[in-house]
Amino acid sequence: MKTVKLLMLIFVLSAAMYAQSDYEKVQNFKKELSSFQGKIERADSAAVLDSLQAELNDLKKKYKNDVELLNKSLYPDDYNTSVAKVENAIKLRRTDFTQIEELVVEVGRLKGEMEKLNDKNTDLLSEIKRYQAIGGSPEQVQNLISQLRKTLKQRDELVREMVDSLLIDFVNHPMTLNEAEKQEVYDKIETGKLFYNIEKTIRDNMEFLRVTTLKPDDLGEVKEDQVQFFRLWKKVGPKIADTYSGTKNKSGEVAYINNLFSQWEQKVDNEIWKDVQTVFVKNNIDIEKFDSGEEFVDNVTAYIQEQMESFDKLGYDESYNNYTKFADDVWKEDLRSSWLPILVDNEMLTVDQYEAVNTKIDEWESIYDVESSTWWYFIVIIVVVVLLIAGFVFRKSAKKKRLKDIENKDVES
Amino acid sequence: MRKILSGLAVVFLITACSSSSVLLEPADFAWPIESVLTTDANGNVSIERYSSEFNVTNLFTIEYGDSTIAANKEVRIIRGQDGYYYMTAAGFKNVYLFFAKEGTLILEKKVLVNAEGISEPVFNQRKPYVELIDGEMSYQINSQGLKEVN
Repeated sequence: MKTVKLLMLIFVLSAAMYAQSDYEKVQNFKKELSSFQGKIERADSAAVLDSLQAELNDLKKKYKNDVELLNKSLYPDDYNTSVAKVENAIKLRRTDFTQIEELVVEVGRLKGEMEKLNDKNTDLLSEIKRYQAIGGSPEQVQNLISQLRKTLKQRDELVREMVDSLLIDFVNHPMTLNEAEKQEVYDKIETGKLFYNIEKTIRDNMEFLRVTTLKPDDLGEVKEDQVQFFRLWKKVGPKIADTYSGTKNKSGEVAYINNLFSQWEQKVDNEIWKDVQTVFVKNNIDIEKFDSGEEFVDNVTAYIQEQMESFDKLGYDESYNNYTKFADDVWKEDLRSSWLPILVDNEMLTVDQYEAVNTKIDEWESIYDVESSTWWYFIVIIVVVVLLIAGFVFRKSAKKKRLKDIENKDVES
Repeated sequence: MRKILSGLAVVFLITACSSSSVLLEPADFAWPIESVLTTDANGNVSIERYSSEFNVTNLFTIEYGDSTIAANKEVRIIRGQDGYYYMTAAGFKNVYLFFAKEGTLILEKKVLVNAEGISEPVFNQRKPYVELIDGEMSYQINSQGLKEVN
């Protein structure tokens, strides 16, 4: 009885095995193989890839007896090339994870360093404020400010490095990022606390500006850093906003950072304009307050115009004195070697605006040229008149002498 | 008589020359798997892999006596080792064998499989036969006819 049952089972099984569609087999194989592509793209770790490789091995075992059929049917590929394509895709994806792991380590390192520098900056800022409050020695305060400037710069560079690495990701993938690439960006942003660190960088820099008075070179360097960092953020910010979509939406955070950058820019600019104004104030040059390139040009040229119009009232000497103080001492000596290059380099003052002031200064100078040339004419006329008189007197005395000689000769004869 | 004989000899020679043909053999036309194709609104099917296209409206006309039902139907086709195109579809009673000639497919044989209709036909290449599976039933078909396997 048992034997009969066994034979029936074998018969049913063999019939079932026999009654299979080759077409269906091939279609199933294609379907199963093509499903790997999506799974590989969505894989978010090397472990997932390991399980996909195992799954592929199972698939190879499953279709072991159909290799000949698949070789003939998988036109234009064959069994081996089809499987090899998937294996290569797994290998290729694995390199991404190696890179991600390296990046995570790198971001971790940056994060550690940044945390240390953040703490140090906070301590230094409080220390400076404390010294300023109790009236500590200027040397001590200056020393603390130098230290803070140095640590701020180090921390800023680390944050910029992080933002820069994101930009490289976006540049390397100019089209839309796939899920795994997006995950890589999220990892970098979250692990490196990107938003927090950018905000901290900007706030510390603004606070630094508030508590310190910087020399033109230092402030120029701060401005340059701010411009470069903002330029970098302008490239990366919108891409981050695009990448974080749906529930992960970060456009609010990106807009907030944009706003902070604008505040920082405004503060640095205000500081620079304030320092430029101080140069005029120190030299008793009364120019109306300005806080933009346009206002700077308007107010400086208005001052020059006013000086030119006051020439008659002030008189030549005082007016010329004002001119030399403004043009030679302040504009050419001081500003041109300190603030003007910073203003022009950082596009706070355009070359045209700079030239507009130079042209106005030349115009101012020209009134003294006219005055001095008038004096020269006067002197020349005097000299000519004196020479004429002298000539007349000389000729007259010579004539007198000749007449006297003739008279003497007549008397002798 | 001599004239008749010599005339017959000439006719024989001419016939012998004209009917002599060049054979390329052996030849194997077998497709590895069947093609499952859906007809368009006009009853046309296209086999991308073999860059072939033809109209199957007349196949439905023979099977159902109705030429209007060929649109959007699934047709299964496989070419046997012998070079015939084996065609059927779900609901057909027959498998049709065609051969290609001068831009047409000409019916060579019509093989009755199931008078009640083949419900889920599947072709497999099992040289020298073409296998037809319908559910649990399996058949071997060639240009000679059909043999039930189980």
